[in-house]
Amino acid sequence: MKKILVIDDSPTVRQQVGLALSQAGYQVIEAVDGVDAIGKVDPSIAMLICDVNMPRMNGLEMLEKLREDARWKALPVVMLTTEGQPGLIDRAKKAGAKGWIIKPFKAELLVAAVQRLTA
Amino acid sequence: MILVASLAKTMLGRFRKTRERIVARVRQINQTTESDVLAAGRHVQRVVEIAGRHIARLRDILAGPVGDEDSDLARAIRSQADHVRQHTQTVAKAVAEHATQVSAVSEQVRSITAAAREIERLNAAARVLSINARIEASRSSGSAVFSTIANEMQQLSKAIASANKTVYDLANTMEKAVPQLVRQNHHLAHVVESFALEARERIEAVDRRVAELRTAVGTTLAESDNALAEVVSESHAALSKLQFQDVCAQSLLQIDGWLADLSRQLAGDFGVEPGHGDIPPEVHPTVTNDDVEVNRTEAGEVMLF
Repeated sequence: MKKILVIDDSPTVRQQVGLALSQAGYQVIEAVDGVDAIGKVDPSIAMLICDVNMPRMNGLEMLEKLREDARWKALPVVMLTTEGQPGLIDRAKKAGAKGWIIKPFKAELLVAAVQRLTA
Repeated sequence: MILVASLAKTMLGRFRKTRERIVARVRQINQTTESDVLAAGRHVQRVVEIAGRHIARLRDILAGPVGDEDSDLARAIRSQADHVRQHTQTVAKAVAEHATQVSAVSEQVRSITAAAREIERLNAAARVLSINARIEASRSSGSAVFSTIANEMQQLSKAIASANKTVYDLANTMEKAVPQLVRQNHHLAHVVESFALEARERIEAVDRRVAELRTAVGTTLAESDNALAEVVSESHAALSKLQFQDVCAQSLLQIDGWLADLSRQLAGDFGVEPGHGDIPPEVHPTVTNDDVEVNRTEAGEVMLF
């Protein structure tokens, strides 16, 4: 069973992503912000789904910090956020994000994206 | 200048009131409904997990002993039916053999009766010979030879008649017993036939019941699957509504941030006290960017790079 780390300060979003992914056969681990996520990343994680606007360390900062470590260079990260500004999307792309999903998301599209990126 | 400062103060007051309403609304959105719906969502998820496990167990049971034509139960029923059929055939064969033997006995009894009649006929002839010998003895003035022959013939005839009567009586008894044996044989054949028919009907009934059970469980499982899918779908829909609330809350906080910036700028420009001390800081920091935000109709869009 593939492990997905879901990072969002909203318990609603974490729960909905968790519900959608667990129904699709994934194991879901949760983190409440970037700092929490950095502490939870390990080699068993297949992919990260990360919010942008979060306290302590936002999603983009977390992504850039993650890429500084050679072990997580290729780890797929998808941003899941209410934001849609091209500048932010570009910054995420440059930091090595594999996708950008604008909230509110559709469960089936999120699952399809996860299936594609973890295949 | 005083007029402008007064106007700025009024506007700042309005901004403050607007911010207070926004913060109150955000708190309401984030705290009032979210915890309840999240708790409900967790319950739904637990129910779905438990129901899913039970359905899987039922499906295993259905696939096991009562599942299909090759299931344990179906094989046991077929085996039992074969046993009953074999035993019934064995008993039916024994009954048929019994009927054949009864028929043979009946034939033999008729032969014995015929033989007894023949003996009786011969005995009658022996009696005639005895009378003739007695007549010859009287003609020969009491010939001892003819008299002896006549006496011996009479004794022999009496013995034969006595023995033949015993045979007759026995044959009669047997003749009377044969129809009773035939009746018993017919009754036995009827009992065996009835048993075979009843056993076949009962086995067929069990088979039908198992098929009905299989269909009922299958239907129930399908209905349960649909119900669970519906629950999951409803749960997703309910949580999606909270997602919208989350988006609204973030948008309100963004507006709040803009109002705070504007308020500070006005205060700086006109030397007016902004009065933000009573407004709590942002609870949800926003990553700033100078771009124009995308249209919200793009919400839900998935971009893979």
